[in-house]
Amino acid sequence: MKSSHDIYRIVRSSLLLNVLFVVLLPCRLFADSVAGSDLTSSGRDLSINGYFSAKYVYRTAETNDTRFTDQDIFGELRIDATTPKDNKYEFHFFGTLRDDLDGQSSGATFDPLKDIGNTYQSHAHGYLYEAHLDINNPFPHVAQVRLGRQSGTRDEPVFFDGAAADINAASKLNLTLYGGVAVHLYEIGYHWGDDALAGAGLDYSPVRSTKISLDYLSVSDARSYSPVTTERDQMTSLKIWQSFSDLTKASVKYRYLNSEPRDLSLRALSSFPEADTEVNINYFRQFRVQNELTNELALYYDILGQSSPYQSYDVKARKLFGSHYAVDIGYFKRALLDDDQKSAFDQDYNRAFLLFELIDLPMDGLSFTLIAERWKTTGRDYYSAGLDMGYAFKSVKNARISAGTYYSLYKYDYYIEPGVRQNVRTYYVNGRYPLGRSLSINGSYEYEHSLENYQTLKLGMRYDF
Amino acid sequence: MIFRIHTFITCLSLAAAVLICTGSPLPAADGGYGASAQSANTGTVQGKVPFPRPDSHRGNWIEFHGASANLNLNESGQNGKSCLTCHEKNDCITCHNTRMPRDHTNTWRTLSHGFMAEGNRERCMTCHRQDFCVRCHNETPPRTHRGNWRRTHCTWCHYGTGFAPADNCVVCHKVALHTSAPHPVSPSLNCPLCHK
Repeated sequence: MKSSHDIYRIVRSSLLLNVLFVVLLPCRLFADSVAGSDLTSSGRDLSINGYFSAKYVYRTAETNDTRFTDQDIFGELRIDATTPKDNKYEFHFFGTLRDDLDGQSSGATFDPLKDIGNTYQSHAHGYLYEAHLDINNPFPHVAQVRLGRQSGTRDEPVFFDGAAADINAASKLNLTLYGGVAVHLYEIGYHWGDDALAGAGLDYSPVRSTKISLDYLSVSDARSYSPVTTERDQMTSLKIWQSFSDLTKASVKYRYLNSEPRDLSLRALSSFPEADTEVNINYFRQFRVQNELTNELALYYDILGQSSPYQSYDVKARKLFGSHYAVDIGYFKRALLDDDQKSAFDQDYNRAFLLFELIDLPMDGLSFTLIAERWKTTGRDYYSAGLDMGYAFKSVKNARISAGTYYSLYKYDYYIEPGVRQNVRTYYVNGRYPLGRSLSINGSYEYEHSLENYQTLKLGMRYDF
Repeated sequence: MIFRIHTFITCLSLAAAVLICTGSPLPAADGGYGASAQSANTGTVQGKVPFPRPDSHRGNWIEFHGASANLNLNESGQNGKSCLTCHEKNDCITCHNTRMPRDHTNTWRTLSHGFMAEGNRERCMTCHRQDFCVRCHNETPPRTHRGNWRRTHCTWCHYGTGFAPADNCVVCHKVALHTSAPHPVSPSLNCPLCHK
């Protein structure tokens, strides 16, 4: 016998799905009508692209004495609308929605299936990442104005509700100005309007092979949890790109944070087509201790504590041997500049990986990938090895099925008990099959043998328009 | 539960039927339906060059793409357009907010992600901001917090691995009041004197 609450939730979930499809179908029909005609009611060519996807996820976890289950549904909607005839306007939208069909898990004790979606007051929660109107060339020397929720205007990963403008200040000089209300998608007690950010960026290309960017970003973050205060940060950065050839590029970036040097990063990438080889090298150095900062720039101080000065090296190379074999290798090393500043969450660290891939062997469409990894830090090691087998159907475009297994061994010198080893074996199969011109269905099953034995079933669809 | 699954499958089937009826046949394998649709596989967008994918995108490309994108897109994403030949710039936002890396398994979520946080916060920064960590750690107890945890946590915190409580406990508990302790607790106490 279902309670009235259960019935309410079932009805609500059904309504949620129907709302998603109600959004989807008009998009489809509208896109089709636009594709078949030159004009819309606004008198302009209009092109609408995007996708809608929905996914049902059923998970179980078993311990010696308890079995947990969880059901969630996820939806994604992306819309990119343009007016290709005059290229005057654009609209970009991306949002996601999730609903916990089972209800909230207990907040007091450990639940192996609990995740970020269970931390809200309501079962359903949505995230709006982008919803902005772009106006191209509204004024002389103004290349684009963007209004609304936007992200990634410059190099720093920020979300905000506001305005941005790209200005052609001179033939080789571009200026970007942006600002508005800072958006923190996961902040506890977040109140829209409490946080703000503003920035400016200058791009200069003295010659075709060289680009220089100068950036400034100011962020104000009103904290709603302990310590309750308002953090303010100002970041200035200088970045230089240099192309040494079409296939060899490098960049250097130097950032100042609150008038102190924060970090230096160097990147280089080169391809050698005659040898079917690609190499990239990265170097990073953090100069000062990083403590509490605004949400946009914080290195997780609230959870992990301070981040001490360190440097890291990262080298990756990949080589193809003919059309059927490929090898990737990589090594990453992080080293604190002062060993005395080590803490539980601030350690020296390194990772190495080796990957071998068989492509279209022993038959077209079939591929095998073998990967081995080693992660090592003070007190903990992690080894993993994986095998993935994929088959792309030649007779049906975009149809694919993959299966594989993964093994991980975590070794802890500390954590609960010294010398603990944790084996995790994962087996999975997933696939995608197109049902029509733009519609596809997908599904996957995964079994994870760990402290808890997890099973995850996913069934979904995606419609591209 | 069966009713819920049934509800979902019914909705999915209904939508699929409607879309198929209003759509067109399966794409052919020889290049498919041209550039009018977005590839579910690559994120390639209408009007862009859809196929074939560059050789560089084979195999473990996900491991390499960040460095490549960083060198091929300038701050405003307008110059060095090799990525933008096929991708929109907001493809980055879409993927980094919805697609988890391979190692983000259930065990990763409940146990091993702290391992990564010990030494490579910059990797976390690729997708997550601090508010993500705070929200989850504020609401989700770790696996040790079950059963008679409330009665046994004293020894786990303070003696289990050599009297090093702060590193783990303070991830979530910024202030440990210990109001239920049999006597006042403070860092100045010499606990092992009594608690052998």
